[in-house]
Amino acid sequence: MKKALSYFLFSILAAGFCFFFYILLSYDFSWHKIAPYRWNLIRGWGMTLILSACALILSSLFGSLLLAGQLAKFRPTRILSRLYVEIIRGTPLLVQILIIFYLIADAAGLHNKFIIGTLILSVFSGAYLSEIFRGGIESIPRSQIQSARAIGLTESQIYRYVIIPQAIRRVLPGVSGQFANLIKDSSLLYVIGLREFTMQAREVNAATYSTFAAYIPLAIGYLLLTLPLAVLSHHLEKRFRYEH
Amino acid sequence: MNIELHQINKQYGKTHALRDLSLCISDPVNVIVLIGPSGSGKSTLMRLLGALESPDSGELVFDQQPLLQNEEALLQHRRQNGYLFQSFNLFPHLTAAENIELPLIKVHGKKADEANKLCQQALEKFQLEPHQHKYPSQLSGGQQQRFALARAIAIQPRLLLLDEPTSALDPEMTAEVLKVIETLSRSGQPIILSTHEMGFARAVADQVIFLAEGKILEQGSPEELFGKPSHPYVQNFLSKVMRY
Ligand SMILES: Nc1ncnc2c1ncn2[C@@H]1O[C@H](COP(=O)(O)OP(=O)(O)OP(=O)(O)O)[C@@H](O)[C@H]1O
Ligand SMILES: [Mg+2]
Repeated sequence: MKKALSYFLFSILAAGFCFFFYILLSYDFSWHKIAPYRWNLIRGWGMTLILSACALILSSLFGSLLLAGQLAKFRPTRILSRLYVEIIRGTPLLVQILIIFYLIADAAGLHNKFIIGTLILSVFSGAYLSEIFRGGIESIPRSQIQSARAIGLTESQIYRYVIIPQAIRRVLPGVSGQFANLIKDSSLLYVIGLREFTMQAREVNAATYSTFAAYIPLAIGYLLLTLPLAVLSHHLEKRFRYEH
Repeated sequence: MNIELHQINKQYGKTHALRDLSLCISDPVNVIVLIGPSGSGKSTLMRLLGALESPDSGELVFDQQPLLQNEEALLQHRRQNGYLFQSFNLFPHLTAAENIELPLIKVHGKKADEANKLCQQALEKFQLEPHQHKYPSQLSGGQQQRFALARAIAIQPRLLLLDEPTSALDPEMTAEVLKVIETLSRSGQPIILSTHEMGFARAVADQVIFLAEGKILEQGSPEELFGKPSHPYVQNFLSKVMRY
């Protein structure tokens, strides 16, 4: 029964893929029209790659700070961290981009779009990451903490040697998903005029009127960034697994 | 080992887990066994003795030294003792041997090779060497408890606190673990043990303490307490549990 179901699923998925590729192949994309713009696309892709990489690191830092804030003993710190997370998670990214770019960055005298873009993504993604981290830490059973206390570890040693190593394994799928989101969300930064991948594709489209010839490379370009991340995450999950 | 408790009270919300409990145990006594009905406060008393929690009022004195109820003193106390819970003592992300070496290295400041030597000595005692590179999830419950015991004794604890170490195990594994505890008691290791295994209590105890509703109803040698209990509640309880 289970086997039949899995064959059935396989056939549906395989048929779906075939149909999709058939359409792709039979459509006239007029690739030649976008050929002169290929360097614009490649430059945009490079920009998105670097932007995402910086934001990935910075958002992890932000996420860890917010996590520390949420776990802090001092209640006002906890409340502010919580408030930050809820505001970021409860409002659209587009609005945040506009507010940070036109109000905050401007008031702070910050004009480099790349830096502002990186900050916006990190501020946004950090809030989600801190929630994923918190979920991982709170999923460690109390008995583990009791045992760790009983062998005489200090509070910080308990985090370092018992909670975090176990939490890492549990948050990996969520974190890699969030990183993929971050890469895709960077496409919204075209609204502040950052010349990243999506912006370039939009310009190519505007210049050539060959929508799909501009946007199919866009999809592939994002996949080239997100797929390696997924593979890496699976690899790490295997390496960190301890329930054999 | 000398242990005195004076007027200990411990409350969880409305539950009075320990009421004005006083106790005095002095030297020739090596193995103390706590028995009593479920909810009588055995685990609570063990946690206080192991400095995993603090009493609401009252004083604990170990070898004429009152246990101060500040974080630093409690940590020092925990570091001198070995503690074993009913279940889930080992850290699942570390191999059995790493579990034993962690407190030796991180808490007791041993070098890696010295920690390994102490670990091997402890494993030899319980014939656990063949399994030392397995993860806890690859061990039987009895093996897990024996490794947890090995971890507790590898630090050469002043006092070994065992809270129902076999109640999560089937009879065969129980026998396995009890044998190890008996060996330890023969070697002169001071032990406080709470258990529902009356036969075992009788066999290893130097002194038996009967708890009910947070109070000590009776205390004495196993011959006295199991042979001719004086308190009617204890008589009743023992006649019920000994019937099978
Ligand atoms: N962390 C806690 N929070 C609330 N109540 C608790 C807590 N720990 C213990 N109690 C209560 O205190 C009383 C004593 O519990 P304790 O676990 O010490 O009993 P016990 O003698 O070990 O029982 P058992 O033989 O079932 O293990 C019980 O009524 C229990 O419900
Ligand atoms: Mg108990």
